[in-house]
This record gives sequence, structure tokens and C-alpha cells, in this order.
Amino acid sequence: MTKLKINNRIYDLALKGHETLLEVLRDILGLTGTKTACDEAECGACTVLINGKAILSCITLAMDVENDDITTIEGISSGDDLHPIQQAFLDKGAVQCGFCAPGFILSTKALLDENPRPDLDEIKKSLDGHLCRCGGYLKIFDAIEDAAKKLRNE
Amino acid sequence: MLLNPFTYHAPSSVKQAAKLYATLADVKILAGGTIVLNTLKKLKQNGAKTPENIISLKKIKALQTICTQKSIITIGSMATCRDIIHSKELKKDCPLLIAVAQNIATTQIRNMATIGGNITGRFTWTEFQTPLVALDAKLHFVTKTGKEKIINAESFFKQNAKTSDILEKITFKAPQDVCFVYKRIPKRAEPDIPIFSICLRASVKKGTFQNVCVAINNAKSFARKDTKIEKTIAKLKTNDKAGTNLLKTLDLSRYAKDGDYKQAVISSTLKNTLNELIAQTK
Ligand SMILES: Cc1cc2nc3c(=O)[nH]c(=O)nc-3n(C[C@H](O)[C@H](O)[C@H](O)COP(=O)(O)OP(=O)(O)OC[C@H]3O[C@@H](n4cnc5c(N)ncnc54)[C@H](O)[C@@H]3O)c2cc1C
Repeated sequence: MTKLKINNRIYDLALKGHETLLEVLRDILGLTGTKTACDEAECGACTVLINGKAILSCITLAMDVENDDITTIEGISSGDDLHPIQQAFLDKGAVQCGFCAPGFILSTKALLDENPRPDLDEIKKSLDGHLCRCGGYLKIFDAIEDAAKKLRNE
Repeated sequence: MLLNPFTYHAPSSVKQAAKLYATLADVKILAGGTIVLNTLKKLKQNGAKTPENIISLKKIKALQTICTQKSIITIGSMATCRDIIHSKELKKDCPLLIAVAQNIATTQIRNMATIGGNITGRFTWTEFQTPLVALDAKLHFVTKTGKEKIINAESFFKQNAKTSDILEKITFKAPQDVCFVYKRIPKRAEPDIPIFSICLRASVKKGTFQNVCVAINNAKSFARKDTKIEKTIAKLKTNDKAGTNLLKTLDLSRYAKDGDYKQAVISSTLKNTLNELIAQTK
């Protein structure tokens, strides 16, 4: 059995070895907040956090992250309370079709956990692995600045 | 896309990995996976055969080390771009590699992609090639019989980066009294892969360039030292006109045809690289 720790819960899974983390999350565990889009490491929709760092689950073997801390979009809110980054995305209208939002939000979490006061260039650089096909980047940047302020209690 | 089935192996030491590599048939090494996993998907899409065995190096913690001992810098093959960017040792002893890693791909790829995969991935354009040539780095492989084999980075890329061994680590002397400049020309706006990259190493003494090394990767072949450019630079005076003077005598037709935009891009990059090096030494 392979033990995966996802959103602070341990899952014992009978994996064969060739499953990607994306496939395990979506097709085996039903955690469909993580999206499949390009499936070739270009778009960022499948981003999850491994030990707090943003990685692409479409090119990660699930067995390679056994014993690591895996965080998906389902794991960052507390019950019905959205995470401040999720709330900021809603407040600032940074979610259009919403397909890319989970990935953007998780990369933002990784950024703000490491650097609570990023400037615009640092925000852009940290999101360089994400594509938003609705083109809503400006509102996304606004939302991140807003979330950073809220997380700093300003 | 679901991958074709394979047997997954996760050795906990390089010795174990080498043993597996020697005994298993139809096997592929997996590091950060940014090339391997995409390749497995493409092969499947094209109906081609995929390997039956994958040896993942992820669980071999010793391969992730970055350290400096007695002025020798060691970087484990499983150190990621992120590890390199955040390394205190490299910040102090070799900021060049941090600058290179910062420009590679995207945040998520930098968190996953290893230096070992970059060197052995056999893409002509990957970016640790030129700095490792300029640093006179040594690549330490472990053969299938468990023996160490050391190859100079320049020779490795001259042999088209071919190997059937496991890359364990990279070592080089912590640079002293020399300056480095690395420049890359991406295909489109960043982030994108480079169509040309250069690493220039030189020291400046009494108004002349010394200890010059010009490692060039034109994306068509693996990184090489360009001795013609090195000799030209060695004859120049280190003044504000050095970059312009360099271009006066240089024939770049081996990199791109005359009149091709790529030749213009290369010549202006060379000029800027040299000028930046001079600025560093002021
Ligand atoms: C979207 C995208 C953008 C990219 N942009 C860039 C870029 O801007 N610049 C750049 O340089 N690269 C870029 N790359 C290429 C790639 O990500 C890097 O070169 C990376 O460093 C490869 O490392 P990896 O650990 O992911 O290798 P893997 O995919 O795990 O392995 C790559 C190859 O190396 C072999 N290998 C790995 N480790 C070892 C070892 N220790 N011993 C023997 N063989 C080994 C594997 O068998 C495989 O053949 C990009 C890739 C993608 C997907």
C-alpha cells in the first residue's frame, strides 16, 4: 500500500506505480479541484503544493510523493470559511471561468507563505507557470495584493 | 493522460540504483520528471513503446546535497533549480548558478527540475551546460558496476551528453578572482527555452582580459568553448569599446548564416556580455 498524506489526511492506496498524482487526486480520490488541462507541464492548472512548494501534478508520479505533505485546493479553506486568498479572488473578480483559479490560488499560497510582502514583479514571476485563458491577469494580481494585505492584518 | 504501466523502483542509495540499473531490462531513470513524464505521454500518444521499468532517484536524499568543502563545490544530481536558487553556499561561492537557475522555465518546473536531468536530458539547449563548461566542472557518474567515473563537463557535452551511467554529483573549484556573465536569448517572451546562451568567464588584470573562457550553446549542438572568440577577447583592451571592438573582427557564420536575424541577436548578445563583464570588474 502507498500512503499519501493529502490535506492532512492519510490515504492508503493500492497503486501500481505508473499513476500520476493528478490521476490519483481526480480519478481515485475525487478531489477534482485540481484540474487537467494541457497535461504537458505548460499551463499550471494541475498545480498542487508538495511540502508547501508548487509543483505540477500532471508530471509527478504519485509514488514519488509518498510521505510528503500534499495540499490541494480542497485543503486550504477551514470548513465553510474560505482561505483569505480564495476570498480575495472572489472579492476582486479574479475568477472568470474559474478553471485556472485553483492553480493560481495554490501558487499564491506558496508565494505568500514564503514572502508575505511581494512586489508586483515577484507576484508575476511566481505565477509565470500559469495560464488564464480568460486573460484575467490584472484582477488576479489585484487579488493577490489584497490577499497579502489581509494576511498581514493590514 | 494515463501512462502505460511500468514497474516503479525507488532505491534509497546510488549503489542500489546502479545495481537495479544493471539488472533490469528496458529501464529509464527518473529525476524531477519534467522531461521523462512528458516523454512517456508523447510516446504513448504516438503508439510507441514505453519503458517497462522506471528507477526514481527521488528517495535518495544524499543526491540532493549542495556543499562547499575546501573550496570544492559539490552539487548532488537531484538538487532542483529551487535548491540551487536558495542555496546559501552557492550565493556565497557561485552566484552564477543561481542566476542561471532563476531563468529556467517556470516556478513549478524550477521546483521540480533537477540539475542532473538538465545535464543528462540530452536536449541541446538546456541551460546548465554553458556555466558548467565555464566553471571547468567535473561530472561524477556511478557505473552499472558501482564504480565512479569522472568526466569533464566540456568532454561530456562534446560527446553529445550520452551516458548509460547514473550521474551522482557535479564538482568544481569555487571560482576566485574571476567574473562570470551568463546570458540567454529565449525563443519568445519569457518564460521560454533559449535559442542561444553564453557563459563568459574572465578576469581583468592591467587593462587586459585573462583566463578567458567563452562557452556557447547555439541550441543546435551541445555547449562548446569557442576558442576563436576566446583568443579575440584575450587580445582586447578592457575599455568601454571592448564589446564593439570584439564584433569588428568576429566571424559568426558558424552559428547563423550572414544576414540571418539570429546572427544579429548573437553578435549583440556577445557585445553586451563582454560589456557586462567589464562593468562587473569596475
Ligand atoms: C514547460 C517546460 C519548460 C522548460 N524550460 C526550460 C528552460 O527554460 N531551460 C532549461 O534548461 N530547461 C527547460 N526545460 C527542460 C527541463 O525541465 C530541465 O532541463 C530539467 O532540468 C530536467 O530535469 P528533470 O529532473 O526534470 O529530469 P527528468 O525528466 O527526470 O530526466 C531527464 C533525463 O535525464 C535522465 N536523468 C535524470 N537524472 C539522471 C541522473 N542522475 N543520472 C542519469 N540520468 C539521469 C533521465 O533518464 C531522462 O532521460 C523545460 C521543461 C518543460 C517541461
